[in-house]
Amino acid sequence: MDKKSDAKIKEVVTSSQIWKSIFRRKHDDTKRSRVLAIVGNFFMHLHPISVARHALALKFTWCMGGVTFLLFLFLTLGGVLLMFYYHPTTGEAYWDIKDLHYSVPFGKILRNTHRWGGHLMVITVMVHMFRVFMTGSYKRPREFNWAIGVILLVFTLLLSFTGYLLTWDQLGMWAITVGTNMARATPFIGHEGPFGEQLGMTAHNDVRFALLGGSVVGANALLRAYVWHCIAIPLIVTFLIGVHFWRVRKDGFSGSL
Amino acid sequence: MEKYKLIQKKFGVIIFSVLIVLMFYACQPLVYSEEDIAAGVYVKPEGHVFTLKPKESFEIRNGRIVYNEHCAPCHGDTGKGNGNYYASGLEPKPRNFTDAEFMNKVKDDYLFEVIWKGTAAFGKSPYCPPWGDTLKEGEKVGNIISFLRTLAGAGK
Amino acid sequence: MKKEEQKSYVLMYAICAAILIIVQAWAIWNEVVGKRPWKDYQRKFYSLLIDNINDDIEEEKKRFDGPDVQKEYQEVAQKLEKAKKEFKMSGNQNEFNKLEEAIRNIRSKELSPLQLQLSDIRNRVLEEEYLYTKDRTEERKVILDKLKEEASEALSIVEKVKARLAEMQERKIALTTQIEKYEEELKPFVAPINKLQERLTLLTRKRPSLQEYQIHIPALNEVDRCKSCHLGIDRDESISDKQPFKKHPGSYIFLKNHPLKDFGCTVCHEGQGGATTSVEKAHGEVEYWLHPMLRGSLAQASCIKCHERTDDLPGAEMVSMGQRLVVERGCVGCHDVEGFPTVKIGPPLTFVGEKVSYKWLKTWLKDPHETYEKARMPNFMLSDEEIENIADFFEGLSRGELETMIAADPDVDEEKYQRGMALYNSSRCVICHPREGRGGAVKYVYAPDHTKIASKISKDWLFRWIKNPQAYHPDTKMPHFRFTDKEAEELVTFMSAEFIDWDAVDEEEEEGEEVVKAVKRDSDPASAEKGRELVKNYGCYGCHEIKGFENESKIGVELTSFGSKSVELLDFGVVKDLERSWLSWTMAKLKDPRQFREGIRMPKFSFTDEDFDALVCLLKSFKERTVPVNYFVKATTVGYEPQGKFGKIVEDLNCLVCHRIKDKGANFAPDLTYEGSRVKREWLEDFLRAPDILRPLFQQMPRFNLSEEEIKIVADYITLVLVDDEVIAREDLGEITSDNVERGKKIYNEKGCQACHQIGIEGGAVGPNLSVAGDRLTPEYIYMHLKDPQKWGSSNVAPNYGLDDEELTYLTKYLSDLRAKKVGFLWKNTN
Repeated sequence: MDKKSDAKIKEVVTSSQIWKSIFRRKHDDTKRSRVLAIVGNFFMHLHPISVARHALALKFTWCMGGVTFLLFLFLTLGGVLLMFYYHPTTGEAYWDIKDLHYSVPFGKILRNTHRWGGHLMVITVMVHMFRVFMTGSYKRPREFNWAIGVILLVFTLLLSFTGYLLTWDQLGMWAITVGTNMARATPFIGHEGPFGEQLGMTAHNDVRFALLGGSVVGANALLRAYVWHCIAIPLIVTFLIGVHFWRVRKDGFSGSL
Repeated sequence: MEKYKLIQKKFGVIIFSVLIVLMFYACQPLVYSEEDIAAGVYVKPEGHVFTLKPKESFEIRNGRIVYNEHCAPCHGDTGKGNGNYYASGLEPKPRNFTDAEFMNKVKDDYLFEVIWKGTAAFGKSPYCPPWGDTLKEGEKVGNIISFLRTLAGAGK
Repeated sequence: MKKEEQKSYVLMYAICAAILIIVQAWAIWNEVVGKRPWKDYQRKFYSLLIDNINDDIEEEKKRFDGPDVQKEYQEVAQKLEKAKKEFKMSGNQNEFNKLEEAIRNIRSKELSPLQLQLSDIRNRVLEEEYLYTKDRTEERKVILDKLKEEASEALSIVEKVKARLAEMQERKIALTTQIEKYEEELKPFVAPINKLQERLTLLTRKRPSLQEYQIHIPALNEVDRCKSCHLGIDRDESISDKQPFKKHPGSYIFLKNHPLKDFGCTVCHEGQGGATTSVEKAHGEVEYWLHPMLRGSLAQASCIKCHERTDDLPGAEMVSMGQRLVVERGCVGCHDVEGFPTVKIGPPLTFVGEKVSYKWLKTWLKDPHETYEKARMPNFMLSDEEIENIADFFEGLSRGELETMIAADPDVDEEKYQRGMALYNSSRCVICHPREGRGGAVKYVYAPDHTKIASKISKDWLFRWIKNPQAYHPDTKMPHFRFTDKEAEELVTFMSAEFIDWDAVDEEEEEGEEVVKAVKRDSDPASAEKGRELVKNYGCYGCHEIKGFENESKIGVELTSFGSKSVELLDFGVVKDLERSWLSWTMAKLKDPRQFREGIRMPKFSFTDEDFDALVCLLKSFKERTVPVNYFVKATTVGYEPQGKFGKIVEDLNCLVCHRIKDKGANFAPDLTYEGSRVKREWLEDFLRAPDILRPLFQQMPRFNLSEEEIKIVADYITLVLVDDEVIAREDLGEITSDNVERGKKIYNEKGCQACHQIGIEGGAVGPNLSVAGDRLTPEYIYMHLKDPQKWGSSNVAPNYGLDDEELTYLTKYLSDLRAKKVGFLWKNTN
């Protein structure tokens, strides 16, 4: 095709009403339109409009934060695909995992990457934390971001914990049993914790009961874990990640610039 | 600033290499000693046979059961043609199935036909009746033949 | 050092991209091939199938090329050729062609236009009719009638033409009848090959689609993908002898009654039905899968998930044998199992001190199997001291009522001896009691061997026992023979002299003691107390009634849910080289129970390999039923118990130890369920008085010395209650003429009945002697039996010859004519 017809096609397309309603600004190669392209885009306006190349030095950041986020995206996408084949009931959960393994096309690799990805995310999060500590990037003015990061760490671990139960096998069931048994020893709100009895806590109304939806690890516990794992915690984490990235951009890189 | 970077670099290298070494160990299979294995502390998954196979296949066992019901009275429990109940008074005697020479010559198809239709239909004595209407299932006769083949040792 | 923005990351990206591509390729390979080994099996299956068909075609071709077949084929082919030639030559061909052309012409030139006309007229008629219904005028009617006339005329013309055509067609066909006939004859020669070729083309026309086969049964919580590899499991014919291409063995039992789509595979065979990625995983033979596959007959352990009773089920022989073993060999004496009756299989030991000699008791306790080969009592592996203690304890248990002298006594009155021997023979003791390696043919009866019995028991005890066994042992299988005192004494005399253990006598003579010595020995109380403790410890009372131990509980664990016991809960003890699986442990436990650690009390049983397999199968079946209610199959048993006076006699004589009535009893002697329809009453009464020799020696019914009244009770019951309403008298049997008898005899000899039946002394002895068939059997029974021997039981040995009505009548008449007087043979046992 020759350039003239190219240009003509381009002219026709970019001046159509559809194009103009989707893309609000022109895309000529001026500095202004380049800036506007970033700032005016929903997906991209969290990013800075320009970044110094040396700021991307791998040696400084190890890129662990980015890797963690990438893993989070993979896990979310994989998780959604897994949700198509999973029923959070005690009669079906275990067998659904088996079916994913043996029957669903690419189910084996889907489930396995989700599982391994979850483990890896915890590791990368910890390495990220380590790096931030070693580079002193928690110091003023970045204290708040560090706090957000710690809360994100807790939620990452909770994601792992709730996801563990969803396979409904011995491993998961006993892990959650141990974890929630620890919960019942909390002061004040656990029925086996200090001052729990005085406050009228019993096995049927303490924090453990709230976590399990019952006094045993059963159908309700599975359902609650499912809701936490797939909806509640991802929503919270998404929100916190947004704040975390925003602060990273606003505070700038602590490293060599 | 430079010194700081150097320290950071050294630290990084050390931590990184420690991590690598740890991961190497983590990926190794856990090694248990022979005594532990013997004591049942750890059980190796490979080489396990989690199931027993019964000594005989169904074909041969079922063949033996049907044979004992209908054939053993004349042909004997071991197939020698010496049934318990004076079948040895018959002339000609019932076939000896432990005779490997004979058994190697006859084919399964032929045995099937003889059992199903009776020896009379093949020009022999009428003493072995046609079992087709009695047994009714071709598979039962097939099982009998499988059992007969074990009596002479290796056969066809 | 370069500045960051001048560094190139291309290498890292390249490496990452390469890794990504490799992993992607691996993922796709794994998805399509790696985790789907069933594809390979399916391909092999289809290629085996094609090979088989090719082999069949080869065979067919060979057969076809064989000289006989070829000759016939050539004959017919030649005839066809000749017919074709004739057809050409004799001018038939020309006529044929002419006729064909003529037919064509008539069709196109005459018939079609006529038919067109006809339909035209018909349409006009219809139109007129419609108009007529509208205005109903006379004119219209006239026109209408005329038109109708025209129509019928046209119709008749057309019919005529058609008739002509038909005639011509017939002539044409007649010309080619020969050719057609020979072509038809030729077809069967080539039909098999053609059919096979068709099948081959169907299979090879396009590549067979490889797919996962799944049976999903929500009611059973089952998803079975077994058929993905075992493709041939439900085919009509097996295409190979090897797994996984074999067809299901015994499919006429298992798959016919349990179609795959309703039952799946894992409900019987267990294993991991949903797995497809490897053979071990699919069979559940991996760590952490709790239900490994049950191979072959072990799958019978699952029968009782649905079937309430398995002893009458074809295909469940192994688990039924296990069920029988567990009661009859005394497992329930120590282990409780729900659903199995607690039966004490051993004789009562309450007064055993006055029954057996001390020496014999010690020998027996050492190893029961040595003393008596068929002994059910297991070997407790007691030390000599323990044996003495136990023997002392039992010696102490005696009333002191009987004169306890051992029976063995070679020096007796000769006349009594002879009469005793005659009684012994007519009572057919040898049917149950083996002596010198012969007899004892009744299955599941464990009567003591008589060969050395006189050296075991006391004479007085023997006398009392023969007079009335049930007084000592209420559950004994021995019948109550109704001997007079004199007869019993004669028997005892005979047995005392005959059945002496001469080895023991020689030993004793060497030691200088008398042959006949007292049984009783003063037992040491301390030793007896120890013996009592041992009896309690080893749970002897589980199989033997012992005074003072009536309320003791069984010493073994309850086995009701042993089949579902997890392998982690099994105690492997000090055994190191045993595989860690339920099946291995159970088998090892049965074979050598005490190997796992010290202090285990379970004794060693003398089972055969088959018994072991059956017991393992049975133990695996001990678990909860998990199938839904609509899968249950209730037992179709009647729970028969003989009632009234007849019932008392049956119990007294223990008839059901050999005979069977409805669902109770054994099958050593004939099934009496319909005996009333089978035999004539007069003969029956005679038989009960003095049984005829219908069967060979070790199968004959003993003489019980019944009183006339008892005989009447039994005969009444049998002829009135034990009948089959379907076997009715055949009035049209007609007269028995000598001609009929001759023909019947001819059929008898032709079919070879003498292979199994005797008339006189000739013939085989698989079935009963037919010398008195006319006296004994009712004609309607004879007819029914000849027509369908399996009517009253599918395991009846007699074959079905597929005779037609005429042959059956002749045979029936021949057999009804056989009477004792005529044959002149019978030896009536009339001592």
